[in-house]
Amino acid sequence: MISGAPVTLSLEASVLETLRGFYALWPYLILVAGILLVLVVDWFQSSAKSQRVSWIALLACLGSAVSLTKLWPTVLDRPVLLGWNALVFDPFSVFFSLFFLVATFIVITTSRTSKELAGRRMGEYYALLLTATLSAAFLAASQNLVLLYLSFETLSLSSYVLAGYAKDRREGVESSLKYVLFGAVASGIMLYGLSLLYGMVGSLELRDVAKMASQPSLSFLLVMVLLMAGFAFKMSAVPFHFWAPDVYQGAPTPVTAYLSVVSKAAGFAVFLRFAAPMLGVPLFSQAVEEMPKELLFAFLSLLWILATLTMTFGNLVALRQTDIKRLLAYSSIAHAGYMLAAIVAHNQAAYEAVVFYFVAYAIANLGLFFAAQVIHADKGTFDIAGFRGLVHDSPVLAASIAVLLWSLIGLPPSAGFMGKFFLFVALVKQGIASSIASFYYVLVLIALANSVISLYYYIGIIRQMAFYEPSTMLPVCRPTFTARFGLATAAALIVAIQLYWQPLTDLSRAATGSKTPVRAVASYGLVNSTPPRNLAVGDQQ
Amino acid sequence: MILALLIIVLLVGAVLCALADRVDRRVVRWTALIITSVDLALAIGVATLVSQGPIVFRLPWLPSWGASLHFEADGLAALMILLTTVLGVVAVLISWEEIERRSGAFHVWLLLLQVGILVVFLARDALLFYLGWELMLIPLFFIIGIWGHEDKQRAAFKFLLFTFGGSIFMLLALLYVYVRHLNLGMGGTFEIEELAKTPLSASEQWWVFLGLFIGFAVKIPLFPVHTWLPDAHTQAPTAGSLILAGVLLKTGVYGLIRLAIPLAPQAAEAFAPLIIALSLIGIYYGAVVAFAQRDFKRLVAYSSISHLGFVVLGLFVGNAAGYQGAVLQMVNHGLATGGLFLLAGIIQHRAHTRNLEVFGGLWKYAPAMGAFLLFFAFASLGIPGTGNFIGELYVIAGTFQLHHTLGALAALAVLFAAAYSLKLFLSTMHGPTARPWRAFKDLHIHESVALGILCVGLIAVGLYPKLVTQPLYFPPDRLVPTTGRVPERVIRAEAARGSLSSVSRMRSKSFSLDHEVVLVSEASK
Repeated sequence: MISGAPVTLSLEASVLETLRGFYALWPYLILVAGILLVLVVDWFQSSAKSQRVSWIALLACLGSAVSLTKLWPTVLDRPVLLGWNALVFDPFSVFFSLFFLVATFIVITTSRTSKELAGRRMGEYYALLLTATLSAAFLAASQNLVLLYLSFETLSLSSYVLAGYAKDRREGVESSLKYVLFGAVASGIMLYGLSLLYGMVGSLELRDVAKMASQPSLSFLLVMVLLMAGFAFKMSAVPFHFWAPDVYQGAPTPVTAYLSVVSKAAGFAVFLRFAAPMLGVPLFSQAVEEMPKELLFAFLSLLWILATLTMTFGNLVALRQTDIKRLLAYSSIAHAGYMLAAIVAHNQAAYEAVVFYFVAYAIANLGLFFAAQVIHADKGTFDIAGFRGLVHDSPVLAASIAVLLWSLIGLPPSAGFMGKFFLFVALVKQGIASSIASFYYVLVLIALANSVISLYYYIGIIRQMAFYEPSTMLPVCRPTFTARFGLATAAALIVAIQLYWQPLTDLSRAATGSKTPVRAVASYGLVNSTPPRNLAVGDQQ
Repeated sequence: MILALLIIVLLVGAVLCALADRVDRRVVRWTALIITSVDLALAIGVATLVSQGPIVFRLPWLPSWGASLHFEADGLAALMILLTTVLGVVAVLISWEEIERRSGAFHVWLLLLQVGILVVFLARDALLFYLGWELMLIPLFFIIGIWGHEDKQRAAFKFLLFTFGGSIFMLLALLYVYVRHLNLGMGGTFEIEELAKTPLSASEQWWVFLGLFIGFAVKIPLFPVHTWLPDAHTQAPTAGSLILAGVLLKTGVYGLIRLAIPLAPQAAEAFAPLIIALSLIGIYYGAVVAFAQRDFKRLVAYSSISHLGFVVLGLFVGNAAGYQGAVLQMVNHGLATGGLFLLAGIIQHRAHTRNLEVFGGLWKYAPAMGAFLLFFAFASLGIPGTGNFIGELYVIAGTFQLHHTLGALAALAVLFAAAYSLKLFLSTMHGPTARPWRAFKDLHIHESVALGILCVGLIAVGLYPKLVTQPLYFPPDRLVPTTGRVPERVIRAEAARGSLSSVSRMRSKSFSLDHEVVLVSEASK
């Protein structure tokens, strides 16, 4: 009976493992309950009071987020695998789930006051929003090609409907249709890539795909290119960005904010996870398979070109925009380019940097879309002219917007600066370590030059707000206290991250798998054995 | 602590000004004046304390990244702080009547601008330095863009685009050194002193220096990247021009001294011929173009380019005389050109034009103003008795030590300075009155005080240059450029024998001073 001991232990362990699995699934179950509850409760609501169901959606987000924070220490210890390894809950996916939930929470809050959505039945809206968030979270957690595709499609389908939610507005419908057409093509290409991949690997698990990467084959590169179509569509990276400006402009503003943050982040999250083993980044349990040098370089070159095109195109076209939502659409394309550029560095630092950058980007973008919504509510226009003389209408609003824009330029003191800083550190790190250093340095230079270009249009808005008197044709903008408070908080957060970014880098480090945050204390004055290189004039020999 | 206080006082002042704006315009002015005066007093305190050794203030900021709030004042930094705070007081005084619109916001920006500048001068942490560097952009952008003159927006924008465009190269260079140091395995650090110990190969240094140099050259501004300066100066309100000319341009030179040269000393030496050539071109170009201007402020702006050429020239000839001359010129240019910009602003406020061709015969209406203009114009051309004379002398002497032809070239440029300075004075104060300037009032009391402060400073430096040169040696300043071609021993020996070139013999006084300073630095070790 000695051999019985391990058996009972393993049984116990498996029970424990199952319990852990349910524990890990709990936040998502709350979300599902929230979706159902929103739909059911909405049946019993009159149309006028439909906005009430937002409370349920908010509560679902909150409950889910709280249970995710409880889950965090568990997965930091050891990732949880669920559903025959189809889902993995590691710090990476839990972080992104949490990120999506916080962003969704903010989007729901802004939707409540949106004039574009006023007077509509909101049950489906919130249900779709939560569904999209749920699928985005699963997208970040999927380890299985089928689940990956299913989550991808669920996210897309919910987004299509959300984009056209104001169905009596022509541009809303138009944008939704464009979105569907582009999305269908992109996901079709992606599905083709996935089926090829299955044919090559004979398994649906990402782990097996990673093993495949170690064998040099050109068809694998072809698969990567095909899959990039889907990822780039979600990231709104060139050449799958065409939907972004129209959809961003046509969709109700809260939905635009949602697409620019959650949908984009989901695209990046799934790409980061998918590409990690091939790029040689050990993202938790994943086996790192060295891609053959030539293949890796080919893939990196592809990313390099995509990144350059994306940021340059986004910034150059943004220069000519007069509609704030369109402008932010192109700006968000450009930001996707910066993050893609960091991924070219294919090291741990790059992954951390992208996570950090996303937080900075999300604060600024959610804030700016909300500001656009607030101005639109009073002035009835999304034109940049609506920003004219805003500092006279509401100094707090104008100052907050200026800080958020400043952060998107990447000028200190702002979180955006630190985000760019870490992106570039990752690239320079790789450049110093690599034999093809200029491959990385040139990319940094291009990204920096792009920041200068972007200065032009971001500052253009600040200029409108500060340098001109308000237009007499438009009504005065009188934001509510809540709106001002919210935006001021976003601005304060942006500056606070610059002043103390340690918690955020610790978080991004934990989320991408460096278990022990490096805490090397700089050796001030301790290394005095080497004489200073710079001597006083009188000391020169 | 006193260093942190310098900055905290200004930040508190900015908040107070914003609050005072709700009460009255006068309250704002007085608040700003008191705050800047307190800051000036603190700066004087720093300048006196620094004689006992550098003042250090260090707080851990983000230890795991090697970033710390490290402020340090040595002789050079103390001088620059003093200059900043003096001009800060003057800037408030001169805006007394000029700024009528949104006066609260103006003073907030003015104080924040000084915060950025002080951070740059005090920071010994590269990240902090960069923060301060970019922090200077925002306030000046708004000061020019909101309170400037007719073409203000374009000028503000050009200013922002140029300086930001330059600073991205600087950021890249700093990043490179940071990552290189990180790879040494001693943990990351932004301490400039630690970064300077990173062993960089010659080609790495070359690139690092190039990056930093582009960033600083735009700010100085050196010859090919100067085009933003005339616009920014011309369009800025008087206080903006004053701070811009007086201290902001010096941050570029200061950055070269503090960052570029220590981080890449060999590259600095390799670049020296190019930089010397650029600064000589700048000296002549600035002077010639200044002479051709019809706009009062534009003329002074171009003269700034010429003067800053002298500063950079002195810095890169690589000897003590040149270095001291460069620092002297930084101070003098701040005071003299500051004075000229004040007068430009004062005249424009009354005459509503800056066109030199419509002025003339103003002395009759405003003799005090005329006297001040005479003084500053003469200071600008380097008349003995003012600091500019000593500064240019040092730079020229330093250049002669490097090469006779270069020295002669630099010396000749002083003639050009005379041409435009006299043109400026004559076309405003002398000659027939082109217009009946009936309502042309002479100086107000606050304007006289502002101009008087600058005058006293210039004369003090002129008569007793040790005021500036001695503090440079209070701490054994390790960050003096090491581009020396002429070993210091030779200079010392030759100075003792009094057997340098004819020019330097002519200025034996300056060299005896130089000699003493070297002795002081030896004694302090």
